[in-house]
Amino acid sequence: MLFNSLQFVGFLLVVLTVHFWVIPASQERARRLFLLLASYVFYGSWNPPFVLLLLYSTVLDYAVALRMARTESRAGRRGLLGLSLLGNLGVLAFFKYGNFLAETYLTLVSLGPAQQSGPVVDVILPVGISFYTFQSLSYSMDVYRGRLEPAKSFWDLALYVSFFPQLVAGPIVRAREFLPQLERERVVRGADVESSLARIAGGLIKKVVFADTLALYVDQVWADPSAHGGPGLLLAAYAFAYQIYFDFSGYSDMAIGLARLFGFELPENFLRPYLSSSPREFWRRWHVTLSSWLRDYLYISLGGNRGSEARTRLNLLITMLLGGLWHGAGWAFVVWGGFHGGLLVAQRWATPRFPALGALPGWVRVGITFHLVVVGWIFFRSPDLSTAGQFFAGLVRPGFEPNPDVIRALAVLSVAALAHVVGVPQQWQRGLARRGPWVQGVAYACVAVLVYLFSPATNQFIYFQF
Amino acid sequence: MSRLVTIALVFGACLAAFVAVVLLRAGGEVMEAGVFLRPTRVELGVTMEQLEEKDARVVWLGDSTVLDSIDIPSYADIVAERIAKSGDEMPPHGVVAMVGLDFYHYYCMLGRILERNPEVVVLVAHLRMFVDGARAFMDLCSSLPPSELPRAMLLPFRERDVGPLDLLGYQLLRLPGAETSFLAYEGAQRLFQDRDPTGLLAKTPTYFERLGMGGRKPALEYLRSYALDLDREDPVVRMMGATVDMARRHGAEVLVVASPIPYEKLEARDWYRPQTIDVLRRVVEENGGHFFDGHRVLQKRHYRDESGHYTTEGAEILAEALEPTLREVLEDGASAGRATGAP
Repeated sequence: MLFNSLQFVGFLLVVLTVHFWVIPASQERARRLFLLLASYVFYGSWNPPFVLLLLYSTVLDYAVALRMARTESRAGRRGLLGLSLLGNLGVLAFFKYGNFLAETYLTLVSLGPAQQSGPVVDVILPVGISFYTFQSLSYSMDVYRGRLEPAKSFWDLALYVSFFPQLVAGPIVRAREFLPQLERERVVRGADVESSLARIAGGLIKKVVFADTLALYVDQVWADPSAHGGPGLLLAAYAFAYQIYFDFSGYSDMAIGLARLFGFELPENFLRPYLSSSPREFWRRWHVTLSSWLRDYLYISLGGNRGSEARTRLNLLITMLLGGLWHGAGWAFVVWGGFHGGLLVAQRWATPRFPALGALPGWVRVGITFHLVVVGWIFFRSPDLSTAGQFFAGLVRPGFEPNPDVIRALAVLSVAALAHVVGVPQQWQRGLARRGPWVQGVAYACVAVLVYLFSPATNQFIYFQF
Repeated sequence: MSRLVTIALVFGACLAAFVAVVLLRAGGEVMEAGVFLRPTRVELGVTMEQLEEKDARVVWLGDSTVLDSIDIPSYADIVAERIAKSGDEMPPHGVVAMVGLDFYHYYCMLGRILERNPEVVVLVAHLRMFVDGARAFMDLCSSLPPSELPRAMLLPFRERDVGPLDLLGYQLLRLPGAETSFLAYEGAQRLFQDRDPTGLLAKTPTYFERLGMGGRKPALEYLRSYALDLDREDPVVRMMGATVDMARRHGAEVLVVASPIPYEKLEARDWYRPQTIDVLRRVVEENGGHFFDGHRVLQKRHYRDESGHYTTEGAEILAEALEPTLREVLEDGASAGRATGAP
């Protein structure tokens, strides 16, 4: 059930009606339970049996956290945390990396003299598993670190893990950000609804008009990079950079807007990342909730920058490699993560040695960072390393045919890039909510018509697969 | 609150104005322009009405291989003629078929067929259906009788991107006006995209692109795709079993015709899988149906193409081979009487 589908509109209308009009405001507990039920229905609409995985993560971490709170010994608490890590990451590893590990194994054994044929597994990836696993893990880790009391109610924790606006593609919310909101009185004022609508409308435009239109060209080029010349490939690389940004930030906008409709605040996930002037800044602006999760729960757990310089660099590399692997079970994702890890290490190494780099004009640093990020996206978008290799090799190939697809991609890319640089989506979303109701009504009708006209070729949100 | 009401009213009024302008300027065209819902809602709808007019007692459900073309008759019609010519009674028959249909669609449509109380339902099973079925036409789920929904929810509809909520949602198409609204919704979208002078609007994929038949497959690739090792857990095989079961539960005799494919070319490359045909037979028979294996009936020259469309001679030979089995099934159907009606 995609946010930009008619099914979702129907689902949302039913949920809003029951939540706000059927269940009285005095029955806050019933409202929360209904939201939980709606979230399970939403997740079950992809593949009903997989709701058991949600339930499993919730039960495991609820039980672990309760037990942790009663356990005095450090070793005991550590053992319980290990249980949570093993239980959550084990499921993630099986569903997400089962195929990858089996294929890698088969490749390795087929290289050997025995030419064995190994088992073939075909595991279906539950949508959004990486997101809710990380959310659930952050809860048990926060309880372990003493930053959070265990949830008072199992149902509240279940709602935190499964809350449908951000369940399948984030933002990754921390339990200490979400659970306290359940204890406060949720008041949704007219102004909140207006800002939610503006946020959702902006997200829809980003997804349907920009991301999906760019996807038409990107998919065509990546289907066979060897059939395109350098300029066409370069255009596709830039187009993908903006496709993935508008796709994912569009989803995040909709998630934040939808959550606000129910009186919840979710953290921001994108802060105009292509205006970053360094790789480090990029990761503070891109998928903020994931990078901060990796920093707080992985990088710092590895020792962060508390050890030697060499150890810090190694920690950075490990964090980014695992961050790459989090995105998908494939070597191209590992290389992408390693590439960004390498950039962060290189920045750390170069900053004190070459102070002139920091003195470069801002737009030069932004340009360099953006192009480095685009290089990374080529790995990210390629289904395997050989396709990425073909893509890079083709960048120097002459030949450019300005057909209608290219012109469309160029036109949309230009508007998308300009809008991003100037910050149109953010200004538009903030500004619209403050306008008069007539202006808002007309604007939302225009958005609905635009989404309608552009929507037949809509793709699944890219981040659903992670 | 009044601001929100104003926003909603202005929003609704603007959309209503948009719809009114579109319908006033291109109302007729809009209803003709759709490419996804139209074949199933309009074209198959006409065929269904014809079944009613004929009071068909034998109903064929099939794909393009059972359709007649300008110069080549359908083997379903030829076999009926043969039986009628022999002096035996051939009950009125009708063919409900369209390019790209398979057992998912048969299962969905069967409720409407059974409402007409046929004695015999003949289902065309082409190996193509088990390779990579069309993801189009799933709006046919709206024809699923409500009483079948609990069973349907346990079937592998997920393979076609249809979840339990979608199964329920499709039932909305039964509401008066809903079908027309969706036809208009899709048609207007198509018109805009086709007339977009800037080329910026994302074009709706064509009917054949949606079926995964955007470009003609090389012959060898087609043949290779028939090398299937199916088991009874295969989603389409499960749908086949469920379709036979539904028809049998409501008293209709069922004959599944495994339509011929160029097996000589397959055998030459070791791509023919007799065990797959055995699986299909077992599943059909276990569910109370009859099975006719037509795979070895035709020779290379009887095919027009690798996807299993026949020449006139091929259609006649297939009809001849099928006749004895169909007679047996007709006799069973006649003795059992007409089906008990809609599920």
